[in-house]
Amino acid sequence: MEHRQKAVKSFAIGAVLTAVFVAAVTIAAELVPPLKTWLADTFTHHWIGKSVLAAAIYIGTSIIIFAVPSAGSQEQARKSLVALFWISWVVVAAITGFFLYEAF
Amino acid sequence: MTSTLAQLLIGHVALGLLGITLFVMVTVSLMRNPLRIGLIKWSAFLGFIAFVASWVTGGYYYVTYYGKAVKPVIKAGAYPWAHNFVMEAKEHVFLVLPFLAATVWLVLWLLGDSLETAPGLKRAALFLSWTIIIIGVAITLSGTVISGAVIPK
Repeated sequence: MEHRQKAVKSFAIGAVLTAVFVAAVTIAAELVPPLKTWLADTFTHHWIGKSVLAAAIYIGTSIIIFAVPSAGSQEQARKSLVALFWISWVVVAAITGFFLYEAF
Repeated sequence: MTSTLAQLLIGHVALGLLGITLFVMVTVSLMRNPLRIGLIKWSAFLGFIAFVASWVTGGYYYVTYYGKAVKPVIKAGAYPWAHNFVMEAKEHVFLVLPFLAATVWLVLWLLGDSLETAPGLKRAALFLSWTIIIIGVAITLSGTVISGAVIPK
């Protein structure tokens, strides 16, 4: 059971890092055109680049966090899910707010 | 637009709606006692798969057609904000959704059997499932706005 709780914690933290990355790369690519050009040149389209990198970060960071020796507990799993809930809304607000500001 | 692209666009919408529907099932089931954990696990798994399939089909349409044929019409039309704000926000907020769905599925798959004795964990999974539904519905409505803004001047 403990390794299952640790897996949930790891993937929840991986999702937190992925959500933060999505917001950061989205805003940065609009403000720093060479980043958007690099994403487009490397992955054929900037949105594909963001998609591929987000998936890689989710899988990669979750596995790395799971591999780091530590104990898992139900409370840690719960706390990481609660953190994911709040970070998700912050990320949605950041992306929406940024494009609202840019468009108007 | 080719018939293949039209089918991909229809598939993108239908798969997104299917994903939302499946997470509505997850959410409603998580609010009931006793939990029908088998139903919840499979609904979350299929919902996650539906979102990934919607991501791929919509992504192909967006990358190969939208930017060249639809975006210029919207930007030159009466409602350029439909692309500059709604589409830009939609395409990037969407990128969070499959990872939320995957995480909720993993919670239910790995710890589903202990949820009834862990109310805090169950509540966290429920809130995340609600988040998926709200974001999914907002993205669906955004798609409606974008489609409605494709009006040549």
